[in-house]
This record gives sequence, C-alpha cells and structure tokens, in this order.
Amino acid sequence: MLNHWLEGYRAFWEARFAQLDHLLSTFKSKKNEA
Amino acid sequence: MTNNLLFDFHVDKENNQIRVAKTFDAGLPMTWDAWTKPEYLDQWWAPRPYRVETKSMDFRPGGRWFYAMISPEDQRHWCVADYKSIKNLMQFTYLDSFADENGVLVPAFGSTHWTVDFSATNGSETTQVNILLQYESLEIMEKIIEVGFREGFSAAIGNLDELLSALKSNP
Repeated sequence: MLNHWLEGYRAFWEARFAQLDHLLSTFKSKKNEA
Repeated sequence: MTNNLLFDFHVDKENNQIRVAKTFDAGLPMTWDAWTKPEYLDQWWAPRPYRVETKSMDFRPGGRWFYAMISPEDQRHWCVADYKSIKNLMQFTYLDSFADENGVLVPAFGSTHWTVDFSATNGSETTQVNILLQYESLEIMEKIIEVGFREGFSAAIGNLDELLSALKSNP
C-alpha cells in the first residue's frame, strides 16, 4: 500500500514543481523584456 | 523552458525520510523568492486543482507561514510552516504541520522537519534545490503520504483536464 501512495505523492511533487517551473519561466520572460 | 532538468524523489523508510532534488531553469535569487515570498508561493505551492491562500507570512527564524490548501470543492486544509533557521539565499529549515483555522496544530499528523538547500548550478543559469523531509515516525510518514496520494491523484486529474481541453482546442 505504501508504494501505491508513494506514486501519488511523487505525482503531487511533480505537479507542484511543474507550476513552479511555469512561474519561474514567466519571471525570466518579464526580466528579459525589462 | 528546459524540460530535462533533474527531478529526483527518494524514500528512505529506515530513517523516515524523503529526499527530493530538483533543478530549476532560473537563477538562485529568483528561485529563492519563489520559495519564500507568499505572493509567489500562493501561485505554485498547491498542485492544481488545489490552490493556496496565505493568511499570514513572517519569514524569519521563529516566524510562521500560515496558509490554507483549498480543494476544488472549496474545502480548506490549514497548514503552518514554523521557520527555525534561515541562511539567506542558501538554506532554510522549518517544521511543517497541519493546523485548524486558528493555527492550532493538529497533533495526529505530527510535524515534519524540512531542510531546503539552494545552490547555483550551470554557471548560475539554473538552481538546484535539495529538500530533506524528516518524519517523526514511519507511521506519521505513511499517514502524510496517504494524504499526498489523494492530492497527487487530484492534481493528476486536473492535469488531465487541462490536456483534454488543449486537445479539444487544437485537435
């Protein structure tokens, strides 16, 4: 059961980081425009 | 955006630890701000379709980030991060706990000790963040992972919704 939960927990972190990647990419674009 | 950057997720059941390593395609100051300022944390800390709303933030040793993780059904799960140490642009540590709406800790889940390390990589073009999660016991770790599983599953469903919507727009 723990291994099953871990897959979900890993997906949780991946989804969280995907949003941070997107945010940082927006920062960089704005900085380059400035 | 570079997609082939490091993402590593390692579980150490013997020591009740999870270690996460991730490289971001941004400089260290920008990455540090994203992890420490509420206006940015609110934009990424919860995987969609969840969202985060900061009630208060006091980023200093002894200070607290008090926030709600909000489900698509508008159910609020209150959380706190009690900051223990901060080395500017290098590392911060904190105790992460579930709480009620007044910030009183929920003891059933215990607290998880987080250590978050930052280092500039690739000539300062990218930043590697290493996270060490230390759980009080295997039982607590399993409980929190179970909660994470539910949220991870919801996030995966949310991502699938986005993908399907994009496919519908551009068949």
